[in-house]
Amino acid sequence: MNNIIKQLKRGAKNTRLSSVEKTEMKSALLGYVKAHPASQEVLAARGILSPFVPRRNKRTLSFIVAASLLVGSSVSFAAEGSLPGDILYPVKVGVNEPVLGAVAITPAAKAAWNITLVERRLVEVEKLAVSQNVSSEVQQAAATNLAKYTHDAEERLETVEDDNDGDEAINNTVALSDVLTTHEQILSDIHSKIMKVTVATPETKVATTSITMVATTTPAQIEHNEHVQSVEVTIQNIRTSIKHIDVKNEELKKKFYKEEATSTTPVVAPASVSHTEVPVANTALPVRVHADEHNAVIENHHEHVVATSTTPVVSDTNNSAPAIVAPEVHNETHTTSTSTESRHRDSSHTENTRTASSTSERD
Amino acid sequence: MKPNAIEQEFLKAYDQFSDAIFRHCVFRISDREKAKDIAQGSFVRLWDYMSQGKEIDNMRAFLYRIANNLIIDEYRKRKDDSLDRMRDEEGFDIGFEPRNIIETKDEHARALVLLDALPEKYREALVMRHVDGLSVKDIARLTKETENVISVRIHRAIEKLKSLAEETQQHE
Repeated sequence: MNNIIKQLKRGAKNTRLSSVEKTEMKSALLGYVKAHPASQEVLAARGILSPFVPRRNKRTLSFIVAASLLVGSSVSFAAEGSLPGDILYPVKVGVNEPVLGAVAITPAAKAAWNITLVERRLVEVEKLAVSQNVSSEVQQAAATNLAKYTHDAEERLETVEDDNDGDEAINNTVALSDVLTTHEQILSDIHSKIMKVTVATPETKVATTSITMVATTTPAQIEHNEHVQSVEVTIQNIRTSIKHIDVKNEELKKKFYKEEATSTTPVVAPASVSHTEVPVANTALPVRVHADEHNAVIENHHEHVVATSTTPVVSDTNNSAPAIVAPEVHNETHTTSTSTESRHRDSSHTENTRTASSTSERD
Repeated sequence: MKPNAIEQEFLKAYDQFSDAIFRHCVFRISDREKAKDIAQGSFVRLWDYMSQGKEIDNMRAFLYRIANNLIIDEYRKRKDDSLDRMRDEEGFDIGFEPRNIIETKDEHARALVLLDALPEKYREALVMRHVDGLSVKDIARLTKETENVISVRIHRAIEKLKSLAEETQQHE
């Protein structure tokens, strides 16, 4: 009986793909792989390397986590300098940062901690930008991380705002904006430095001008270009975030440090309003502005100021009376459309009453 | 473009396991070209899985499972009488000329022909155990059977092979 088995095993040992077959199959597979690449999100998720996601080398990972707990601070300390793609990076993000962040209890403290986290991500991006031989997906991961943490920081700001802690919220926006601006500057410096580097080709070893796209398209050059591009994209994202946060800052200032309402100061100056000036009494609430061909319509939560001629339904059916927040302000509209004017006048006889009418959602 | 991390892992898996998977397919299907197709198909499926970012704990077992599923599909595609072979208790029709065995001195080809005569489930267990070197436990997990069933199948497979070999030898 063993004879059979032995025969089988002998036959098995000698059965394999010829080297030609093997390479052919490999190139066929590579073609398929290139035709169906992994998405950026998937690659970024791998870069984050969360210890809570089971990994192929999870034995290595759980050893590191356990060891860091046992050994105490030395691994954590070593992990502090790690970057996305490093083995110790999960320790930094999964162990160190939660521990350090656990100290923050109040929403304000948490928001400050979030900003610190954003700063850490920024530093990582910068370190990667200046180092050589960084694979593109590690850079991508760092950039995605940064975006994620910036987003978290912004969300955290909302929480502080909801707490009605105006001072803290404004401090936080300022702090976040500062951090982002400082590092945007640093990254721009880095970017202009690396742009000047051309990768030496075998033929010409001359480092030329600041043109990034050289005629040669060696793999090294392509990689370098991708590297530079990644930095550019990150800088753009940071600038966008800064704008966003500055806008938020302005909003917060107005919300918590509002002036007394005046009849001639619109809270938001609609850029698209051509010939109407509509005084708005309500300054405590955000104001949404629509522009259409004939009129500017300003809608807010508690009052209707103007109804457009194109949608007559709004003020008539939904509001028996428009609510006015500041009693001393009379809703005077200077629209040129007479139809709306009359409609408005009809309903404005109750101008001094406040109704918690719900406005209809338009568009 | 430089291959990214997932691509590199995938290619590493190919280098490591392509021969083993191909070998498994050959001993299950007895058709070299078809075996190549199935082996390649296994790696295509592997890529589909990996490119979604899903993690794989045991690459080897995973590949064997994919290959096994593809082979089972292949058998289903073949003529109906092949399906009968998939059932354990079913007796089998030798369906080959003993003379062919004698003429084929090549041990390997002989083994393949003999294996072809086995019921599919026996063959599956036998190949996994003695060609691929998988443990009974691994085979049981792969095929979603109990270890006992696998052991029985392996034993019966060997018995059948023995009697087959004896039969062919009788005609020498």
